[in-house]
Parts: sequence; structure tokens; C-alpha cells
Amino acid sequence: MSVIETGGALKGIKVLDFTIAVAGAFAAWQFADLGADVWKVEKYDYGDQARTWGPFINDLSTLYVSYNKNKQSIEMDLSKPEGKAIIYEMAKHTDVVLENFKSGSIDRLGLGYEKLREINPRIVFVSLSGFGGSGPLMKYPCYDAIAAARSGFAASSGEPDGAPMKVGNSICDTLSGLYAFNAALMALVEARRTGTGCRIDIAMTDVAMRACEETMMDYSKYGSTQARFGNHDRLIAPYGVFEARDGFAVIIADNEERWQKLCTALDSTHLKDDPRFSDNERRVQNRDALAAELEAVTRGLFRSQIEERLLKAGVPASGVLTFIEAYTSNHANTIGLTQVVHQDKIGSTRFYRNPLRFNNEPCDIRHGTPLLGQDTESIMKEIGYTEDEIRKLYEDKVIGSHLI
Amino acid sequence: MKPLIGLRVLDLTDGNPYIGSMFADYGAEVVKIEVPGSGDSIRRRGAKSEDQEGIYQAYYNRAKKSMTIDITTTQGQEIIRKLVPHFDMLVINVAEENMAPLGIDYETLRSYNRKLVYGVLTPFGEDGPWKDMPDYDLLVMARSGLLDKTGFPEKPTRIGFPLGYYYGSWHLTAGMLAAYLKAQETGEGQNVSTSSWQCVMSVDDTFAQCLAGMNELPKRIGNGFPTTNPTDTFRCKNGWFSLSIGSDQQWWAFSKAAGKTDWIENPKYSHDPVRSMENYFGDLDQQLRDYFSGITIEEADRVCKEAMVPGGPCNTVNELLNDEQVKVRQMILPVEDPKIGETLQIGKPAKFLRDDENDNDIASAPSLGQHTEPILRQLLKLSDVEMEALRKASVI
Repeated sequence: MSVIETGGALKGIKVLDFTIAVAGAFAAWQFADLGADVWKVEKYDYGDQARTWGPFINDLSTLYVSYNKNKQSIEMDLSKPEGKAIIYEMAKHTDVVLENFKSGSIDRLGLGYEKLREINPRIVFVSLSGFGGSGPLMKYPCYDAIAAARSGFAASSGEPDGAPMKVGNSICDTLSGLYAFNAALMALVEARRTGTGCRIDIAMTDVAMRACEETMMDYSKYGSTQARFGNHDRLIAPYGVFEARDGFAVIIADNEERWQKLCTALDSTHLKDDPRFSDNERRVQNRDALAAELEAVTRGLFRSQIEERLLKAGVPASGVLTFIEAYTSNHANTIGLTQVVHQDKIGSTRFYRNPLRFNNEPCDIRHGTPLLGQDTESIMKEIGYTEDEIRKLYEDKVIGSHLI
Repeated sequence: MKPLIGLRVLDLTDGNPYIGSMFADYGAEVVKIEVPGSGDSIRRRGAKSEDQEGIYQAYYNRAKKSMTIDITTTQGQEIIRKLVPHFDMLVINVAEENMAPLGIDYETLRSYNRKLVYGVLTPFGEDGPWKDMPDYDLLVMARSGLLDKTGFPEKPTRIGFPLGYYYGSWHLTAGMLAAYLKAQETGEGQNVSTSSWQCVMSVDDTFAQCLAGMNELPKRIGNGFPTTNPTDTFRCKNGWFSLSIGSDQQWWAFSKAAGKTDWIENPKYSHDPVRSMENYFGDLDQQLRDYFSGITIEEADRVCKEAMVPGGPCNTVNELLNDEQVKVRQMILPVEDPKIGETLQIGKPAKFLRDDENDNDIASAPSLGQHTEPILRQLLKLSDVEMEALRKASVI
């Protein structure tokens, strides 16, 4: 087996992290999980705004805690020239800068790409925002729900004449954070090859637009603009969400053989002969009636019964599990979905591990989320400041360690 | 700028095009290895019959190359092994143990190319009680709890596109890029693996935290959001509009622009948490519905822009085609496909500085096996006679 230190694929990479809230923090935490040094720059005496989002345990935001493990926190006042000077020093050691300030803000602070590339031409500078750095919407605020709305993402889910439906998590935030992570790595690949970094501009709405891929093709080839199709697939039937006695189940019969097996497994062999359902095309046309027929049976069965019977018969099916069922499942525990780690101010707490494995080893969590300014001193030393210089900067309130 | 120019990927996936697309969109040479005769099952998506291709493959396979090689034959497996030294990465979307009997598992291929990055995406993982569950995005979503959390209270709403596969694929591509960077430094590749299920679980940003903090779980509430209100989607005269107020200041600005002074002055509505926790789901919700149903989405948009609060229409393809922001960002691009003609496709979200005009030129999807002979000739120096023999034996 290889001698690479496992879980440390990005060990040695240094990230200068200005991000706040979710999307940017997500990109930064991927770097941190994979072993990079993520220097999270937080506002003096305030910190990342997500620190103020409940729920709280011992005055620490549990949301904030879950987004920022494995990072290091340096607390600074970026409005002061000495603060900017520290950033310029950090830039010499930095591979990737991540920021999600309002468009243009970081440039006005004197910390933008044009300035930092003078110091370090290999720097990769990623700007993540709601609408991107161009276009008529550029200066407007954007949250996850709005990116979902404008991008066509929300319109892709829900009943045909019903409300567009956003997903139960902040999907646009995390998908764009993940996309930004990919883009930053690509730029690092290029910087290794050419010796020069670049700036990357990523809009949450643009990433979310990927959801519209098939409906865009539908329009372009068939002139169809119908965006959402309810709980059943528009091209194959039966393929969707059905009522069960204790909730819901998903059932997929995507070829004739499976359709036959499904009918038998649900004691509904009469459906095989029903002309409305004789082939996939007819089943799609009559999918509401089909769903009604199947639900007449599934409504009387528990999710686990539907799942067992159908899987045994070779028909893909699953109960719709609640979050807690998934989170505490035998499967989650066997594969090590979460890990208990010490978190300052809270104690032992459960975090999600990074889902990537390298040579089949999971990325272990090195430490929990830092308190505000917890790593200020160690980072300052690492970039070459002396003890005296550091003390003076604390006194002058350029740097801090409020540890909230 | 195409940052991945020079990167070569052998793509042995079937039915999950998102991995290869992330690499191909940004300049890598992605060579699909497909079953002779029928090819990747993604070609069948939207097809009118079993023996035809659907239109979606023109999008899913864009900018990739295609070779038809039967990897169930020993000769096919030998071709893969011989190709591996010419590639930086290889990716599969089945458990690696399936590749061992074929002699194309990671350990074997590593001996042909030490720097190889070998990517593995499975729906549920390569261990654990669910590892053999069928590979469908809908099953991944059903077992993640995320399907259950999406929709109105009466029932969950199926998400209209394969979100689980996106998370799994984009996580894997990032892991593979990280391993590639490492391999360049150390000369050693790695096996990089993940499951779509674990990726979806790990982007949970509210449930585990609410459990830890409040010992409560958020409910399925449609388009609402538990702690910042109002966040919801409203029916206007001519469409749907999303509003997402994140603070009292934004609420007051919005109320002022909407001409609703009661919303600012009335202590029931003026401040959070009272507004969100006690009154939002009561009469304030109805007042907002009444307000929006009396105006157009253009008027709603004007109000939100004036107040500088997050709000926007729920665009469908119709609106996106005429949207100025989409045009400036070049997120809808024409791609000429040799088989189906002109198509409109979604553009590339990552804008790299120094992007020039032709970075948005997207190469069309390959026909099945289009590059088999050119690549075998170029990389393995096979002669026409040799290739003819392989073809006769149905290896390629």
C-alpha cells in the first residue's frame, strides 16, 4: 500500500479563509478536513456572523460548530493598516484565498486578488457570491432560498401546478461550496503547471442552475417548458414516492420485468392485464391512476414490509426514512458517518466525518471548531512575527483572542 | 481558461455522468469506456425505445470521448491495463471488489501506473448493511432523511433531479483532484472513494445541530425556514415568488417598501424571535399571502430590490431563457450536436479570470465508440489488422 499519510491529501496546503456563513465555510471546511491549514480570519471582537445563529449550547452556536471543525481562527481588525499588513504577510505562504463578502468589498479593503497576486503570483483567489461578480443582479443580497428560486432549482420540484419546492436543507449553499472546492483544486492543478494562479468567480445561482439540465433540453428539442412533475418520474412509471401505513416508500419498476414482479409482490397481478398499464409509455400517461392503484395496497403496508418484499422480488424500493432513522442507523454507525470529538466549551460532541476516504481510510477529525481567535498567536508566530511584535498588536487591538 | 488541460481520465462509470462532466467541462480529456452495442445506460435516458438514444446524452456526455471495450473479456481487460499508463485517473461507480475478478482493481492497476488516482463512487458505500442496495438516486435520497425533510407537511416532495448523485460525484471529483495534486508531489497515486449517501448525510446543516442544541428536530414545512422569517414562496398574480428575510432590519425595509406600516409598528410582527416563533405561522403568513396574491412577480421584485432584501421570482426554463443575469453569466449556451442538431445547454459556473471567448465553446457529445480506433492506434499502436480481429471477437 502507498506510504501517503492517510486523510492528509491536502496536507501542506495553506488556505486564507475570509468566508462567513454557510457556502463559503463549506468550501473551507473541505480543505480543512483533507489536511490543509485553514486560517480563518474573523472580525475583531465579533467573529463570523454564524457564531450568532442559534441553537446554542453554553453560548456556542451548534450550527457554527458544525461548519468550522479542523480550522484555525485568527481574530483581526482588517480596517487597520497593521491588520492588512498581516494579511500581506500571510499571503506569501498562502495557496488559496476563499472569500464570500459582498461584491467588491474585499477589493475596497485592499485585500483583493490584484493586490495579493503582486505578493504571491501563484495565489488562487476564489470569490463566492449569490449572483457572481457580474450582471444586473450583482449588487443584490442573495440567500439560499433566493438562489434556488432564481436559478430554476426550486421550480424543478413540486406538483405540476403546485408551489415550487425548495429542499429541506440549504442545498444551494452547500452545492456551491462544493463546486468552489472543485474549482479551487483545479486552479491549484493549473498553478502547479504554469506557476501562475488566478481568480475564480462563482455564483450560487449559476451552480444551482445545473438542476435545469433536462428541462433545458426539453425546451430546446421539444419546446416544452413544464418544469416540475410531482412525486413521480416523468419518463418512467412506476417510479416515485408512495404512501405507506407508517409514512412513505419509494418504488422503482423501470423495466417490464420489474413491473411484472412488482405486481406479483404486491398481490396485484390484475394490474398486469390492465390496458392502462400495459407498457411504460401507457403507465407514464396514466401515472396518477397507477399511483392510486398501487397506493391502495401500499397504504396498508409498513415501510419495512414494502421494502423487504420488493427488494426480495428484485424490485428497487425503500422506505422513506426520517432523518433520525438515517442518522442513528446501523449503516451510519458501521461506516463511521459521525465521530465524537472534543469541542471546547461544549465537551464531547458528534460531528459528521468528511465523506471521502483515501486508500479506504476515513479523514479523521483532528479537532473541533476553534473559539474566536484561538489560533491567533500560533499563526502569527508561524508567519514570522516575534513575541514583542505580537504583544504590541494585541495591545493595539489589531489582533485578538476573545475566545467566545 | 481550461485549468485541467493535460489531465487524462479513464471513465468507466455507467449511469452517472456527473463525475466525468466536472472534469470534461474544465478541459480534461475524459475517455468513456462503454459496453459495445448499447453503451452507457445514460444514452437511453429519454429514449423512445430500447434501441434508441435519448436527447439527454448530448448534454451528459458533452466534451467527452467514447471507446467501446468489453471489459468482461480478458482481451478487453488487457486493453484497459495497457491504457492505464497513459492516464492520470480512472473512475468507476460500482464497488471496487467488482473490478478485482476483472484484473482492473486499484492494486493491480497501480503496478501499471504508480501515480494513478483511482476513484470509486457507490450509492451507499463499500461496507455496511446497505452496501448492496440498488443504485438509484431516489433510493439514496429516501434513506438519507433529506427526502423526508422536503415538502409540505402532508407528504414529502421528490426532488426533480438527482441531488444525491451530484453531491456524491462532486465530492469524488474534488477528492480525486486532491489526490492528483498529492501524486504530482510524491509520485504516488491513491484510491479515493465515497458514497452518495454519505455525502448527502454530511451536508446536513440543521438537523444534527438542532438535535444537539434543542433536542428537537425541524419539521417538514414546505418553503419555510425554522428560524428566520418570513422565508417562504408565495403565489403572485402571474407566478411564484420567494422571499427570504434574515433580520429585523430587512423586515422593516421590506415592509416600508411594501407600504405596510403595521408590519413595522405592531409589536406582534416588528421583532424576531416573536415574529418568527409566535406569529409567522399564524395570521402574518395569511397577510403575506394576501399581499403577494394581489401583485405581480415584477412588482414583488421591485419592492425587494428597493428594500435590498433577498427576494426573487421562481424562474422556470421560460424565464431563464430571457433573463439578463443568465445572459451576462453565459449560463445557457448553444451546443451543436452532430446527431440531434442545435441544443441549448447549461453553461459552466466556475468563471476563471482570463476566461476567453472560446472557454464557453463546448464540444459535442461523442457517438458510441467514436474514439475507439483513434485512441487504440495512437496510444497502444495497434494496427488495423489487430483492431479488426478485436472487433470480430466483440472485444471492441
